[in-house]
Amino acid sequence: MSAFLPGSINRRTCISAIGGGLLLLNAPGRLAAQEQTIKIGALYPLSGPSAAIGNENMRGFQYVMDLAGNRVAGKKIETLFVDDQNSPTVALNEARRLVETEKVVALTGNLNSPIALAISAYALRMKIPYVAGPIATDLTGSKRNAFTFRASNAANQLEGPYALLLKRRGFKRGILMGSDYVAGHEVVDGIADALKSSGGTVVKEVFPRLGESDYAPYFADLASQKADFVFGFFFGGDTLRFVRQYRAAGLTFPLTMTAAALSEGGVAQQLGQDVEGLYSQETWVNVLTDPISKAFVDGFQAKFHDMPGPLAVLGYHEATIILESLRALKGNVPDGVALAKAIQNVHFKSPGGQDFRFEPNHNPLFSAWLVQWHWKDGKATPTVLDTIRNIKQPDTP
Amino acid sequence: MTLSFWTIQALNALSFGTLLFLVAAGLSLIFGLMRIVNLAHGSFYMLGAYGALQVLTIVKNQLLATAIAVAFTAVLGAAIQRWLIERVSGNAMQQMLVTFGCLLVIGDLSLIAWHGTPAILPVPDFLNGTAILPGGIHFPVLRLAIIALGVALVIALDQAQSRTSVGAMVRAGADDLEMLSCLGVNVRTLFVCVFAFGAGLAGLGGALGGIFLGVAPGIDLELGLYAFIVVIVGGLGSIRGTFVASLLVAFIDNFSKALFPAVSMFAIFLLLVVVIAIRPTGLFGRRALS
Repeated sequence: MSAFLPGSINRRTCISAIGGGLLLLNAPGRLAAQEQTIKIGALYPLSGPSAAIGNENMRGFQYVMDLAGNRVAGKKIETLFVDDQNSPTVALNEARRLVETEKVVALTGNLNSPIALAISAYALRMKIPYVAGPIATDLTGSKRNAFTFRASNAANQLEGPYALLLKRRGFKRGILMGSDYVAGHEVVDGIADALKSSGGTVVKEVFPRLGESDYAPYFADLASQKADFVFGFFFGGDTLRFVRQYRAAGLTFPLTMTAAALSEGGVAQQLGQDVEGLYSQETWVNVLTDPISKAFVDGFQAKFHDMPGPLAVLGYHEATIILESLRALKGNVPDGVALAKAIQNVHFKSPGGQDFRFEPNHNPLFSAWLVQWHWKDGKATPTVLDTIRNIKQPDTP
Repeated sequence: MTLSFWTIQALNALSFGTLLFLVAAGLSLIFGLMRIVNLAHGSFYMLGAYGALQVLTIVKNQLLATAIAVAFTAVLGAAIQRWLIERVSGNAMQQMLVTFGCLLVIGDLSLIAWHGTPAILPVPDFLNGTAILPGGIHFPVLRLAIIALGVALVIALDQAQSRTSVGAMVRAGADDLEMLSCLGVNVRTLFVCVFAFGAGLAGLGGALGGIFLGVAPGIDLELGLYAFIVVIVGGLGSIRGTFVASLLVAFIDNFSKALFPAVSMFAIFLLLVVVIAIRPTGLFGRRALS
């Protein structure tokens, strides 16, 4: 009620007048500062259960920017790192603040598909380029737009090559297992299709629930199956339980894990001796010997005293995409349309030696490695067996 | 579906059931005696697992690490009862809120201390490997050991509850607290001891379960939920009831996963609904959760 009293209106008018005055006073300084500094908004999960992977991702970004001295074409780059709390609501609010108040020229980051889809829609509305981390197929598929680019692989990009890599090792009859949610079904279906179309056989598909605590019931009747391998799409704690219980059940089929399931978040190391002999597909591992990977691993270790993983490489991609597009524009960003165009044409060699460039749908080409893990002197170490390069995201409706 | 399939599934269910029993027994005892709905019970499970993992980085002996983790959770349980819950004694709603607060605080502190990355305890050497049972059935030694430990504990607890003087106090306290304190029993100390014992059992569950279930943020809620289902199905305060309910929940969970994976997510909740509808006091309980 008090808002309708005259006194209150006066006060509000008064406050907004003062506020407006202050803004006017401040405006020339702000404009001058903007000419010097290019602001980038980087959103990562920096608190809660995803903090560890968010931090690794952020460090990869920081590494590239710091290496460039946070400057491009004589302009200073200021990256505003913000915690998205892995929540779409928080992330969208922060994105709005970054774009509308902080006047960033581009958004990047996130590790969660619903967040990416929300920010992608917002980026389109504001005509601000968004370089996304999550793998949601739709982001560069049915929901793609002119301002959204993906710095990671798409969820449906790696199954075909994985089936091919496995076939080259003589793995043709597979028992496919995956967590019972959208991504689990998508990936298992993708592997199944690729396996069948290359003459292989799907012996059985099993979908334990996401976050399953006891996988043993699913293993009991596997021993009698005629299979060459078991494929597992599991992440984080699920991977730990799945592999540990698989070993304990005494199953002897070679176990092949989905991309990044072992290399992300130190899962392989946690598994200890159970990691011995596991296969996995990786988009990058830190034992690669190409010069860019070597320089990245050395520099990252010197800076953070920690080994980089695939998420650090994702940060590397995100930062390099932005840096190179700004370089192409010589540090002058007239508007989001021009920056998006520059991003589309970005081209660089990424760790692993892949030529990083975007397809017309804004999804990058990727390399995939088949690795086998060994337990050596208390360390989980991958050995590279095979590679496929220049993998595209399959056409989606 | 051969005989070995059913045997392995049954043994699996037994091992998961005994693990559930370790966690739920404390919850049941604490409620039976003190009427405290301890929402933080799953936190002790999580701390048992993280604690053992932490101690293992210093001492290399997993038995010792387990013992220290159990002692730690027991002491923490005693402290929470003595200095937090006792302050609001007599007020069930406030007590529940205090334990809920503990759940959140312990969860966040664990996240700070051990980060969000999921971890798993190593398999101790003497429990590593697969045993070959009659009929050529392969089964992990670790799970057999957990079954043996669980069964031994059930028998010991049941005997202690019915034959020892402390057991008599606990049973008497569950029936009539005022009368018990009139008889000269120091109820306050008894409460602290029972709370510590319950927390220690959950901690033991964590240190053992962490070997094959792993530990990550959220496991406190997950195991806590299982424990509550067990306690409601089995009836509050009854060791036998808790054990039977643990097995029932584990068997239904296990066989629904193995035979009808699609319904496994709600199979145990169905059990919960049926039990509450037919016997609100739980299978072995004398008093309903009200």
